[in-house]
Amino acid sequence: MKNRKKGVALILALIMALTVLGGCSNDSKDKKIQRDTGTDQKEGTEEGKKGSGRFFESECTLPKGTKKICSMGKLEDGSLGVLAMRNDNSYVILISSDQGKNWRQTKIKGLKKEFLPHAAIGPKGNAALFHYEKDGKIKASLADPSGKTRTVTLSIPGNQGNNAKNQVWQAAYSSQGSLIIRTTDDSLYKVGEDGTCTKAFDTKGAGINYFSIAGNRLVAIHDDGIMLFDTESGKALDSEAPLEELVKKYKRLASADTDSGQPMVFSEGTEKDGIMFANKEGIFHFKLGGSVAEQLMDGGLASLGSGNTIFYGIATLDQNNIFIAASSDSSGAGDKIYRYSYDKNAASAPDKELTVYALDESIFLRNAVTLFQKANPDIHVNLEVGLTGKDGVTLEDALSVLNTNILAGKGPDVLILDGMPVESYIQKGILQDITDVVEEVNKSDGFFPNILEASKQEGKIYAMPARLVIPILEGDQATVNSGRDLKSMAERVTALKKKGNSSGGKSLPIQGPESTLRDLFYADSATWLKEDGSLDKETVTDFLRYAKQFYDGDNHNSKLENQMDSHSMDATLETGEKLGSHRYDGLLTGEWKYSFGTLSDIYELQSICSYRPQTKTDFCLMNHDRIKSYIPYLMAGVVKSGNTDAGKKFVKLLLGKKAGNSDHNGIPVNRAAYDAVCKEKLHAQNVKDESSISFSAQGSDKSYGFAYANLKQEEIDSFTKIMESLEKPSITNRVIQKIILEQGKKYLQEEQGLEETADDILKKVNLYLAE
Amino acid sequence: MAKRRRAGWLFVLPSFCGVLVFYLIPFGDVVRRSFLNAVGNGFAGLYNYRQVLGNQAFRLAAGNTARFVLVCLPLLLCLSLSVAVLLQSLARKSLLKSAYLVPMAIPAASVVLLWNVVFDNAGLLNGLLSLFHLKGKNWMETDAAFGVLVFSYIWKNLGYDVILWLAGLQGISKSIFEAAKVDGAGAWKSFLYITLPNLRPVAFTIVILSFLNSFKVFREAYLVAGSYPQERIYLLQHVFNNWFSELSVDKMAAGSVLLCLVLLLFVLILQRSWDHE
Repeated sequence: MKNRKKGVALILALIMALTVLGGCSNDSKDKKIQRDTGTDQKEGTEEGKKGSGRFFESECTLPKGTKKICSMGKLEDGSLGVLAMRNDNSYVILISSDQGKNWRQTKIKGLKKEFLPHAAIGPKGNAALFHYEKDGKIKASLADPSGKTRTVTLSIPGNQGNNAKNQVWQAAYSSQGSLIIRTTDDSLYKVGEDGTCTKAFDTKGAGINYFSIAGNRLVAIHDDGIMLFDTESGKALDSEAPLEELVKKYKRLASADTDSGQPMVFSEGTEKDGIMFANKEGIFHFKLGGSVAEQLMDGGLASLGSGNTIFYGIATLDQNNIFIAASSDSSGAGDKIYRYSYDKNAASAPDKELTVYALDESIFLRNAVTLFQKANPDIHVNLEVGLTGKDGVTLEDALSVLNTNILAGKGPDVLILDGMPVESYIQKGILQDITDVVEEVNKSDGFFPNILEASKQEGKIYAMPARLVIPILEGDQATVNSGRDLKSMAERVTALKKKGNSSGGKSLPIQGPESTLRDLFYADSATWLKEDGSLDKETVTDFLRYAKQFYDGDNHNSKLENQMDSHSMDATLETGEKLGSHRYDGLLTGEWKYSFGTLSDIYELQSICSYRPQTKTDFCLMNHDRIKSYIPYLMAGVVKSGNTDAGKKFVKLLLGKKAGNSDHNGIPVNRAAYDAVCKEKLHAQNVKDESSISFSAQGSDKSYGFAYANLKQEEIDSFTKIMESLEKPSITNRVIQKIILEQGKKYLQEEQGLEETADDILKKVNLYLAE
Repeated sequence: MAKRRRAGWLFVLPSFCGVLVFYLIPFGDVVRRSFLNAVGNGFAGLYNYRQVLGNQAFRLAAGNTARFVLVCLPLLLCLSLSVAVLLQSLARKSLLKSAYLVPMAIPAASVVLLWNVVFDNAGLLNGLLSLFHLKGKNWMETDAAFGVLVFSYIWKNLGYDVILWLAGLQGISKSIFEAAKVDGAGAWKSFLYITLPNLRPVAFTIVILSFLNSFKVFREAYLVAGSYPQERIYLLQHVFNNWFSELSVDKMAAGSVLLCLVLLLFVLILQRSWDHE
């Protein structure tokens, strides 16, 4: 009995010990990729099984002069058909019978040379294009395979006479040749030969955001899921739970990004009841009635995964060849056709992994990741974003997790250092010296030498910004002249306010206290730190005084101001678009006398240069006599303890011309990229048609706007001079910025006095610096 | 005897493994890191300790923490003992006992909300003061923040200590009091010569627990005022937390070891003085 008790006690003790120790399992990340596919639809997939065979992306070369892809699909003879717009705004049908290598071009006759956003290609190589007459009627030009067109007037229910309220927003042909459209009221209609539109699909009142044709099935996406219909009978088919859940899980898949592209496209698969679909996550195959969707290609390994990809069509020619028409450029330029072909001998997954970590989402970074993946198919890039904004994670939390991973040896290989304690990381020896990489890029493309020099620390470079943003002031000549320092600007604001009050108008845009402080902080903070690293009290006091004058420059509307602060244009949006905080709408309406904030890219520069003849304003670098500062964006560094070779390769690409060749998301630091973007802005065709802005002022029916114009050489030269004159980066340390904004706000809103606020700021910042 | 000892060890083994894995080994690693560079294994000797002791922020935080403990601990002990003695004399005390424990059950985030409502510049306290034509202030951004922190600590931990004192009081035999009463001892003399000496064993536990709980007040301070609060409530945990964000793990390790030595010293001195008496 005694022995039995002892035995039981021993067994229990051992079980407890094993339970305790078993909780400490080693989950060290194997640098050889273990594919984390992470979404439901990848269950039961071929992914994760060690083996060979995967899809590779290549780009199809379209005929010279092709500007835009309107529609793409598989034709009934098995060839690939594309409806495209050319540079001269004419339309062509392109057909390829050899997997996109060569194209037969047929011009569509009888069309006006104008942009027609909604068009579709049919299974016979025919096409439908929609346009609006001056009398308000909607016309469809139906082209046969030879390019001959006949025009019919659409009679959409709800449109009476010349009042075409219900317009065409999307069109597609079924595999049997029926033309189906989606209208402004999110309904689906079948268009007859004579233009009559019948509501053939009962969507039960659900507004259809977009639709796709998969063989003889219509896939209609609405806010809460997906509806399937037979394209010929119009009969609703059984819902498919995995597809429903896909839309519920990824809300962004439910709405169309633009009126000429969509976040997801469907096509018929190669087997019976099979559907192929593609979105940013990848290419998938789904069998109707099944419980899982099989992922054939990870979007992260291809151009699909790029931040702002929109899709025009998908065509599955055979089991080993899938074509997707898409654009990764939000402006619509850069439409491409990608071919995904299966290589059975290639490894099923890349055998190397590179982890890139950034605190904030960034489209530019995602595009760079995509470019890197394409150039290095044997390396899988895992992009981690610390602050998604969706899960309540604060900056401190994100940094704690990052630091824990770094200390545990599981840290990323590349750090995008925006918002991080860069100096501390350099001091601790976390970052690799990347002078060799920077010099290599400098040799081939060149950097702005002033930015290069400002990035050096004792002759070495540990972190280099790929882009930057600058603080600007915009207004009439007297205002621009005052932009030399904050004092003059503050005096100008006060003078304008007096003038404005006397004439009843406003002078400044409504800015929240935090937005005001932040914009001025960017312009001034580069000079704040003394030799010993502490903050200068007089500088801070002056800054607060001037900020108050700015803030008092207009009447306050606290609700609107809070809105402006919380939706600050300086913030990176959820999608990762880097926008400047500088606004111009009030300048166009004439309400504002000037505006200030950050200018984030060449596209914004183009906006300013386009509208300033109207507003009779000019702009300058804010505070330029005191310090010509800039805000570095996407500052990249390689972690010493990580995969430094791959990391350096990635940084080289990030800083390079190919990745930098974009007029959005920051101003390029790479000189070759900067020159290329500016050159494009000199000579872009049809710029007015594609990008003009119009809006109505709040509480008014009057609309305002401007047409984009190409940049002039002297405008580019003038801006380049500003870029070449930049001296020092502003303080990007978010701890210091947060202290300034929190305390400064109290002074601006008169909760406490100037001296008290300055003392509080100094105490906290100096405490931080003393640590 | 050896067999019994072995059985005892086997029973202790699982907990000991847990303590070893989650406390002793990590602490050993911290001691090791305090002699190394922040990243990598470069030997730094006593450099980190010199850095920490010479660090202005650390000295400020250590001073604040020491001041906080020296103010709060005696206050808490006296208050909780007074309340416990009073409660002991009541016939029906279960409801009151529960009421004193409620603050402990309130999560830190809720306490912080309460702080913001009461102590904010536009909060209840300033509102109340204005009713009496008194000027309020931004309690959390002035030296008054220290008082708010002390108040919060005492409010939260009073009930816990009261319960422990009550347990100790209930352990004192009533016959001693009766005998003292017979001998002419009044309430005060009974308290001084009977209650206090008999509470010594439980007092040791209460002092240690209250001392350790005093470090938990960082949670509320951090949630209300962030990483860089008003100077007077800038505690050691703030420094450690901020050092971690900057990856100054070397300084953090050295600071932790120093803190641990101070705490150990305190406990040993306390234990020695208790045993000596």
